[in-house]
Amino acid sequence: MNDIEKAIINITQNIWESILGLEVRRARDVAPLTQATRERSLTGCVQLAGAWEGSVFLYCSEALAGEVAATMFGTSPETLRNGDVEDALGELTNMVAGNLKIVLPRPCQLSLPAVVEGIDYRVIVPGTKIAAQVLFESNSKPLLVTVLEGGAMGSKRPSAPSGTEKKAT
Amino acid sequence: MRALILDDSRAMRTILRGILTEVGFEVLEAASVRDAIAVLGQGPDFDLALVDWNLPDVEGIEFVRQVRAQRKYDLVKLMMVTTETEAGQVANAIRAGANEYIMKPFSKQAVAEKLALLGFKISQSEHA
Repeated sequence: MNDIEKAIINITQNIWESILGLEVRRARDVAPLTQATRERSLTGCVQLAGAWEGSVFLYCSEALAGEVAATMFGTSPETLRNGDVEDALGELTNMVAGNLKIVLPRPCQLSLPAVVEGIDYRVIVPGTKIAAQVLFESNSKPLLVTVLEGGAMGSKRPSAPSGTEKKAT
Repeated sequence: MRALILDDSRAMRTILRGILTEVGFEVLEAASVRDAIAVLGQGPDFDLALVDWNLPDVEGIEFVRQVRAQRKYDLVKLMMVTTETEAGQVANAIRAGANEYIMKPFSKQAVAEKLALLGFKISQSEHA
């Protein structure tokens, strides 16, 4: 396990506990993830630029995204307003990326979060490789945190991840 | 006590509003520096502003600079609430006039302790 993987585990568990009051644990069984890819899902993305270039992605089912958003808004998933789920997942991704900077070369700047949603899509950042990937389980649903290294950005703070591609929605 | 929350995430503003309301603050919100300056200017006097760093228009530290440039806001306590974890960023915020700094994610207890450090009277029972 590399330093980034260790950091992902600590950071994600800390966020889930302190902000959401939910348990998240590392998952070994990828079957629920395989199932989730066939359902509607969301991916939060924040890019880092500076001494280290890369991207942080949080992928989860629409159901889990709704549950964590409802927790953050102190309501039920059914009563969330338009944009609330994306806002919540973007903020969670932002927290993971910001705290990950502790184990990365400095200085680094964060982009604003972007969120992709749909069914059967791929998010691609050209010229990158996976630096770390950790599969979690929260509320019996998969949560995948991926850190890609590379893919230098043209500007310091893009409003959306450059080079991403949505295959299908 | 009156507080302003400057954060572009409505989810984060909701969480912070819950914590501040619980300990006795009346809370107003803004999602951008421009809106925050406008809200602050409406008065009456604010006692506290919680400021995110990464915002869509200009960085939150610019809000700190603009507030500290006006003497009428000298008594407003400014606390950065951000994922920016670099020591240099913390130092920049303090230099610009921020009074405190708390990293996301935070616990309710951690926010309450920072408020106490800023001189706000928060009872143990309110933030336990």
